[in-house]
Amino acid sequence: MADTDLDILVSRVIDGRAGSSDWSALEARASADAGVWKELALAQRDHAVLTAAVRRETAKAEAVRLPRVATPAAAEIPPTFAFPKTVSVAARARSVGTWAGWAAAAAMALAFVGRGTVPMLGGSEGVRAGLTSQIESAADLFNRYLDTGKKAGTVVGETPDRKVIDVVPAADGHGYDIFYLRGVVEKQRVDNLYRFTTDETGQQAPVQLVPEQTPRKFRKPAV
Amino acid sequence: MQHQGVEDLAGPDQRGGLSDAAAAELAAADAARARADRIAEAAVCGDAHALNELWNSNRRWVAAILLAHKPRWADVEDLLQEVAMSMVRKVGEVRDPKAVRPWLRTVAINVAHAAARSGKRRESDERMGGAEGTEDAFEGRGRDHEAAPESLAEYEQGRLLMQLAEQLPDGYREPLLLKAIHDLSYREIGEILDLPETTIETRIARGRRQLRELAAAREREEEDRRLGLGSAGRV
Repeated sequence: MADTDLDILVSRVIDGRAGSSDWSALEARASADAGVWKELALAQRDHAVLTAAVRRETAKAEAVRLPRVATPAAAEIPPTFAFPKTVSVAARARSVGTWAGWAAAAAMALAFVGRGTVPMLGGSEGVRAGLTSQIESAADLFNRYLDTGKKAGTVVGETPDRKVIDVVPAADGHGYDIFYLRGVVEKQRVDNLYRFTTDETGQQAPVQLVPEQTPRKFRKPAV
Repeated sequence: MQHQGVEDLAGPDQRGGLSDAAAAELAAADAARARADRIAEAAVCGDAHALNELWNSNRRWVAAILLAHKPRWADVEDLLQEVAMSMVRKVGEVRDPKAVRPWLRTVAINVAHAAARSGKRRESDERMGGAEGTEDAFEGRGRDHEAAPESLAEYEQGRLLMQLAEQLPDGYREPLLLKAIHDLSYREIGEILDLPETTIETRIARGRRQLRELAAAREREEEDRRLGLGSAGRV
């Protein structure tokens, strides 16, 4: 049966809010029913366990930052993707991972990019045909780099995924600026492969790999 | 039997005197609230730094509100990002800066309910869902784990209590989960939920009682199952 008085007394003890009158009341209840102490102990145990679980879950909040706001003050902040040189590669990857969560919210805005294609912003046919154009967009130049690289065999292609690293409300109030990473897979032929190992004196020494020992770690990406 | 009535126990304020700890808590809360009001006002007026500060000082309890309302499979981090996005876009529409906290709670509840309606299952389904994923989830606590080191049994017990808390009425579940974040006082919880402090105290007390009863019932079921008794096996 619910006993609100006792519940409140127990709750105050758990939360460290019990004053002397509360303790007196609790002791009076316990002198008549020793089970009160057991109730207190169980309630304290539940509270400790629940608190640990809630704190563990809500700790995730510390990783969630606001999208940057475009104000004069915010404009002075360096771009998110200009990582400090002291940050490790792993830390960079974690940072990108954190922002990658914005992908869901930014999915619609990113839809224009399409999968594996680059928007043609004018003059692209002329460029592809090898014609010179006085005004070339960045997209045209990027496409030309991809095409030329593929012909030369130095570019395999562009990776299909984009990693969203920042979303900023546009300064003019219309829409959002989305910052994202694009990846290009390049290829280069070398005569030999070496792996660095540590010899018995603790020095780094290159060891040449023979072809049959060379695992095919990298597959040609689907582009 | 010496017995104080509910009226006497309704709250420290109504007992006519405060313990030293309660008085100190009130004084600290007053100062914190005045500062929070100034930050909220600046944020509503478009100050980016204040907006960031507002988010940083409130995101933890917003996560607790999401926990109280989200479908089990939804990931708190994903939902928080949606709340953050809404906050940036709409905080300027809040008329009374002192009402920012209740407004933020409403945003969080709406986001959680929208996730429930969407019915989309996400990766977190496997992470927090069935019991078979418990050990992986335990191992994967990583940087999120701030509390004292737990055993797998304690971790599992915490997960179970969180699931049982889902069965509590909204009015009890929210204050109980908010109180589990140590740095929130009854008064602050009352401000978030727009309820008197005494009501918060009563709801937390009753919520704890109900959670204990649910846990006890669950323990009895487990015991019956171990002994091979069906539901009719217990007299």
